[in-house]
This record gives sequence, structure tokens and C-alpha cells, in this order.
Amino acid sequence: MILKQEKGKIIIKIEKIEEQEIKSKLQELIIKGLKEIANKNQVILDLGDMGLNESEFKTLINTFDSLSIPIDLIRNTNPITKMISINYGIPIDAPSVINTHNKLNPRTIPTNNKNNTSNNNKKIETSFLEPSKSTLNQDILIHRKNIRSGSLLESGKTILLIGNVNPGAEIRSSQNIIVLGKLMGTAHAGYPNNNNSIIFTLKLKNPLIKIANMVAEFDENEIKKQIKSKEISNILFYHDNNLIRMEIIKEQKE
Amino acid sequence: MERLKRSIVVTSGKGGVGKTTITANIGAALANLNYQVVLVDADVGLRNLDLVLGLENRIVFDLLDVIENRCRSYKQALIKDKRISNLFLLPAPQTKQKEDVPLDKFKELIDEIKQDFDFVIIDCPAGIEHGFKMSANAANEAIVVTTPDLSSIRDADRVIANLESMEKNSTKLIINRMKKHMVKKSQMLSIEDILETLNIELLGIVPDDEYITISTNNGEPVVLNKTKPLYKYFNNIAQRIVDFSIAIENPFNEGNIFQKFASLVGLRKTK
Ligand SMILES: Nc1ncnc2c1ncn2[C@@H]1O[C@H](COP(=O)(O)OP(=O)(O)O)[C@@H](O)[C@H]1O
Ligand SMILES: [Mg+2]
Repeated sequence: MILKQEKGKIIIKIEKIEEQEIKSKLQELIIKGLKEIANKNQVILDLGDMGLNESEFKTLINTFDSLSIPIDLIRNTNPITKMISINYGIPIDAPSVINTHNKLNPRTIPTNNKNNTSNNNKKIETSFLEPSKSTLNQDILIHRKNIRSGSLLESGKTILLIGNVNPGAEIRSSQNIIVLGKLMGTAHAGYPNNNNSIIFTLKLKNPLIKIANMVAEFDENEIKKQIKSKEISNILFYHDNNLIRMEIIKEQKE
Repeated sequence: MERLKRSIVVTSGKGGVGKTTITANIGAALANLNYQVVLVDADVGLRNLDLVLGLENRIVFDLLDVIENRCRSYKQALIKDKRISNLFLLPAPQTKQKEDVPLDKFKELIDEIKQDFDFVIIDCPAGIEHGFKMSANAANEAIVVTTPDLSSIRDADRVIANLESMEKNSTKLIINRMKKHMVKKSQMLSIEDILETLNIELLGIVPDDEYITISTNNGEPVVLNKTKPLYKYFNNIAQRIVDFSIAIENPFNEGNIFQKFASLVGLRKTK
């Protein structure tokens, strides 16, 4: 375990998941005043590129929770760990993140909500204290076909689409949406109000991204310029603090 | 001689993309190849296949007259093209509504005509309403026409979804009005994009050519004049309807960029 302090942040880097070892090391640091620093700073747990499964992840977070050191952010480059983390209600902070803070103007979808903003905040809190079960273990709807213009594919389950969502088509899930193809139409995850849902797609072109009751707006050309590429690939969208964030998951260099 | 008995609907979703032009010309091209062809105008109330073929002054009976038994047999309503033997037109009624033609009666009529011919090609009205359902329901195969623009592609996609749900087999695509000047570096993606989105087999590409307007106004299918540049594209499409393994006529052979993706979609230079 390596401890690093940056402006307003405390970064705890973990290289091996050994519950006992982590626990004793933390207790050691607590004596040296870790709690006080943690209270004043944002606590970032850096997991490198470790691929954790759900129970490993839970155990790890519980270890910190039990010692009253709540984790604010997870830093990790492994997409599965990221999904688990987001599902668990802990946002991601990765160096490879394209932070679209300025480019994403979340606005509320006019339908189906009255006092949303307050609701959202509440939801984040409860999901943090009482993590909702990750949807990854629940049923997945696997659909192997292109969704064509004018068609809607809808499910209460997480949808794994092997194919494209064409312009003018919509894919809608109460859970998550994973598109192994090109997203050119509308994707609405967490329908109508599950903020913990994510959307992942291999490729995109002019899509409309909705999570729960938010709509993402972003300038594709601007992002292409930023990443100096003609095409945007491996994109993860998730809800974070009343924003939809977009993250481009880079290939790991071996 | 045993007839091929194929029925094909030419459809697009969007209007004005060239369905009628293409129906007339591939019909004429198939007739040129010695097949017996009937073209059916299903655009009830907005017929113009007769105009494109230059047969508007010869209409006596239309398809609703046949369905409602106002003539002895469908043969009485067929208009034979004097310039091209083997080519016939079954016109649409001009003063009726699309809904006046019952789906099942139309299919029965097409199935009956099919028995005596190699090809029955139906010129479908725009949209996905009654006229489309009627035409698509009656045919065994479909050709979807699109132009290289987003709205036409999106409508074509919608039509393909509908055709899929009707379980039509072997739906094929014609890209109409491709412009040479678009076939440049930056715009070259457009055919690739169309195929990526629509994800169906490409039957042919027809370049944009102003001579089409002239020939339409004169009521002469382009195919009548072998010296005209579009002749070979319609002829190629007709040949590929008969035998899909024949190489596609590629209007943009000069461009090396095109060559690069040509292999991707099975485009080859024809002999
Ligand atoms: N390849 C082409 N090049 C130039 N003009 C074309 C071409 N194809 C069609 N057109 C023109 O486009 C217009 C619409 O064509 P039409 O066949 O009537 O479309 P639709 O039947 O789909 O409504 C006509 O004026 C026609 O002459
Ligand atoms: Mg027409």
C-alpha cells in the first residue's frame, strides 16, 4: 500500500488484494492520523489495472468503511472493475478520463419526474450506504441483430447488443446497455430513474445518450480533436453527481 | 417454356429517390435480356410509371378494374410497350385512394400474373402505410432504393426493418444518384457508411445523370439507348437480378480510394 498526497486529495494505491494486510496497514496509518487527513481531503483508491470481481470489490470497500475511511473515488483502468464500482455507487477517477464536465450539459427529460434533483441526491446517498446489488449478476438480455430505424428494443434487464443501433432506432433498459457494435441512435439506460446504470459501446456516431432522467450533450468532433482520432472507440457513459460522464477506455499497453 | 415467376417490390420509404425510374429501367433491361416482364404501378392516386414509360395515353383499364372484375382478365388491362417486346405495364388507378385496394386481393392478382411471366416488378409508393404493405406483402423479393443522404438512408433502414418482419428473403440495395464529385477522399466513406448502416447486399449503384430527366420527359427508358452512359448500370443490375454472382458495375473505377473499399463490399470491375 502506497500513500500519496496531492492538493486536496489523498491517494491510496493498492497493489494486492490481501484483506488482512490492508487492514493492519490501515490501522497503522490511522494511528498516524490518517482519519483526520481523510476527513479533510478527497480519498481516492488507486487500483491500477487490477480486475476485481464483485465480492472482492465489496470486501475491499467494506474494509475501508469498517475503519470509517470512506472512499470518494476509485482510480482504475480495468473496465469491469469500473463497471462494478459505478454500479456500487462509487465514481471513477481515472487518468485516462476525458472529463466532459463542460461539454455535458445534463438536462432533465421533461417527462416522468417532478422533484428530481433532490431525488437524485438522495438516491446517491442511499446507494452509497446500502449498495444496490450490482446488476452484472442479474439476467442479461443478449440480442444479436441490428436495431433498425423506427424500432425500439426494450428490456428491464441489462441489454447486451451484438450489433448496431442505427440512426432513428432506440435501445432502452432499466439496467445497463452494452453495445458491441456502433451506436448511432438512442440509448437510454436506467429507464426511468436508475442512476447507477451505465452505457458502454464499442463505437458511436451521433448518438443520443440518456441515463435515468438525464440527457448527455457533447460535441463529437471536439472529442475527436482532443483524442486526435477519426473515430471514438470503447466509450463508457455513467452518471456521476448529476452529470453524465463520458470516458474513453484506452487499450492497455502490454 | 417454364417462366421464372419472380415477384419483386421496388421500395424506399422516402419519396423521390428514384423507385419509378429504376422500376422502369430495370424492367426494360430485363425485357431486353429476353425475359417476360410486367411492371405494376402500385402508387394508387399518384401513378407515374406510365409517364416514365411513355404509355400514359394508352391506359384503358387499371389494376382496380381487374380486382373489381370490370375486365375479363388482367391481360386486358396490360399495356404492351411497342418499342420493347416482352415489357408490359399494369397501371394504377389515378382517381382512387390507396386504401381502396384490399391487401389480399392485390396479392392474389400478383400471384396470378406471376404464373405467366418471368418477372413482376411492383413500383411501390413512398411511406410505410397501406400502399407499402400492399406492395411488400404481394412480392416475394424486395429491392430497396436509397440515395446517398441521411434521411433517405434512415427511411430505407426503416423499410428494411419492416421487410425483415414480413420475412422477405434476399432484400437487396440499389444506391441511386451517386455523384462522381462525391467520390473523393473525404466523401468516399458515404457508400461504406450506407452499407455499414443498412447491412444488406448491394445490388447496384446508379450514378446521378441529368439525362434521366430528359429521358423521363420523353417517356423513354434510358435502356432504349445503348449509347447513353446509364445503360450499362441498369443492364448490370438486370443481369445481377438474374445472377447475383455477376460482378457489379462500378461507376467509380478510376478512384484508388474506391478500390480500397471495393474489396470490402465485393465490387469488381466488370469485363
Ligand atoms: N440517377 C438519377 N440521376 C438523375 N436524376 C434522377 C436519377 N434517378 C431519379 N432521378 C430523378 O429524380 C426524380 C424522382 O425520381 P422517381 O423515380 O420519380 O422517384 P420515386 O419514384 O422514388 O418517387 C425524377 O425527376 C427523376 O428524373
Ligand atoms: Mg414513384
